[in-house]
Amino acid sequence: MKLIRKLNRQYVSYSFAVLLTAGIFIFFILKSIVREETDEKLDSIFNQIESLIGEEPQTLNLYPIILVQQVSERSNNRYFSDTTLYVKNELEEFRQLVGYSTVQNINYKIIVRESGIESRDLFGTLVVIILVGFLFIILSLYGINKSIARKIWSPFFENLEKLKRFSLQSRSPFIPAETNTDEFNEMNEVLKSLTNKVLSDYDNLKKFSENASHELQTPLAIIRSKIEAILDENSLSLAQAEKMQTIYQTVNRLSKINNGLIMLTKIENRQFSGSEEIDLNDMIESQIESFSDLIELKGLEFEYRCQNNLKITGDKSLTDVLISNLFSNAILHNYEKGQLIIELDGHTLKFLNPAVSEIPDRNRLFNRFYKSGTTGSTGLGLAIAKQICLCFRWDISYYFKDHYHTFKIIF
Amino acid sequence: MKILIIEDEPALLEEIHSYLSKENYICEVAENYDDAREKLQLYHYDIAIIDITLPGGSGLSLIDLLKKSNTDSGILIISAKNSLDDKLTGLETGADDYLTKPFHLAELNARIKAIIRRRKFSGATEIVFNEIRIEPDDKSVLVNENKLRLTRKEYELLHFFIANKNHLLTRESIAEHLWGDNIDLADNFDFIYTHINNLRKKILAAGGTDYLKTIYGLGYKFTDE
Repeated sequence: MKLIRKLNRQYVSYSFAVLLTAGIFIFFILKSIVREETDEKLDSIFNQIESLIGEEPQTLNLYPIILVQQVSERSNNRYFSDTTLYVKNELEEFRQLVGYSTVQNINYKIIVRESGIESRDLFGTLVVIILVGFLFIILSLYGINKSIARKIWSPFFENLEKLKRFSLQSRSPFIPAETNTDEFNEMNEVLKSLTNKVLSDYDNLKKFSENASHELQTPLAIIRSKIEAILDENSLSLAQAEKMQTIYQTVNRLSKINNGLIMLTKIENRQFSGSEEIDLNDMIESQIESFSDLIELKGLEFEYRCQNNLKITGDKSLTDVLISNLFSNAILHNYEKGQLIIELDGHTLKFLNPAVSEIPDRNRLFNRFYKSGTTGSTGLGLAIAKQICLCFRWDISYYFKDHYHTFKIIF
Repeated sequence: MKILIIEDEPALLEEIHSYLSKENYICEVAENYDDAREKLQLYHYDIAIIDITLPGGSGLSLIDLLKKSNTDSGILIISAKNSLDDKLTGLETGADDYLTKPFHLAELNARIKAIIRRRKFSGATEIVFNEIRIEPDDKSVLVNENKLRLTRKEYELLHFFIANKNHLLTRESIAEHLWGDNIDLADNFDFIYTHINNLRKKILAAGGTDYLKTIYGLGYKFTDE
């Protein structure tokens, strides 16, 4: 929930409670004030009637407001009470003052009534007042909060936007919004030092992994050239040659792994911008040509089903690597005289090759150094493919269906 | 043919030097920027092999220097940086080719020959080995004047072998030459074996000699010795 909404909700619920309590108090206070006023009024009317009573007592009757009766007993009693009477077939509440008076030795009972304000009416009015007040408060809170948010919270929201846009790749430092609020200033300092630390750490790590891999290339080149020179001399015994061969193959593998890691680091560091337009069909056709001898040598039954041409945006060399990785994968992990199908349909590219069962551990398939068999591969090919897809927001997946390994990319 | 090898790693420099010397090139070496700069200014080389990262300066400015002095030297960059940017910058400044470390010496040799052929330093472009003649311009091969029908890969293979005749070519270097280093062939060398067998058969059928020798089971040598 938004901060402003949350604040508003709190304000509104608290002010509702406050208004409700205030309403209840007001209700009772108003009621007692009204009663006091009524009683005073009744008292003064009573006194006026008392002074007029000797002259023409009968004419003083005005039902139901004034009642003058001659009574036998004499009394000084005077009391207020509430009563309800039928007036024109309607039940109405009255406040009455009942008292006695003696004029010229005749005893009178005098009742003065005032139609009371009904509690229901009072309650209704109050509810309306509270509701109107409530509405007024909500509206003004909305306005006030909006202007507060605009003024006081603006550095906060600005920072939030900046943080969202903050990226390690862009390398631009985080510059917080200026403010004179102490708390925000403190937050700015923390954010600044945090982002600077992240940036420098990331830079160091990147440099380290890149340098480490690059530094390995030269020693590897030396080892490889020396071994090639020894082999070239052709003076080794067979046993020595075999050992040398093992060393040679291991060095080659090391250099392949290293190359793969350099490639992965580069893609992960987003060092490829990738805004070239690529004709996927052209690219596949040229890959088919370069793989044609491998397909032929393995006796594969090859089929390229191209439903439509597809133009994508990305990095040409990386896309080339992606397709060639999946292509060579499908060739190398194929049977002799097996089948290989490439399918381009809409935005989907599929590589299919037949197999007995699903690749075990398919969740780890795209991880670095995952190896399904003892093929001696580096185990980086699919990890690289995955990283390339991530880089350009393409979707790559594997599934096993109808006895086919299927690698699917949705561009 | 005079070649200057600019490489700061002595062990690697020595191997490059010895491999290329066997090819009868006159080789000189430079181990740092200043040394290389001096030699490039004083003498003329047909080909300069330049390492990009050098103590004292960048190999890229050496290329600039060469280009400004208007020599017709061929330039081959060798670099540990397998970066496309470097590759592009290198080729944009006017280098003929780019090779990433670690590379096979046979590959380096083949690339140098390709530069020489492209620049037509030695006049004739055809490559002759006894009764075999390669005409790179139209990618044709003649054995005793009989034209061979080779696939593209077989042609490249034969070309690679003759460029590195009398040298052992490991299966790894052949695989890299034919398919590039991006393809993880995963020690699946049957492909090479088949290609070589087919090539051998075609040469024999055209009345040629079998010059292809298997060495230690780890590579091949194209030799008439």
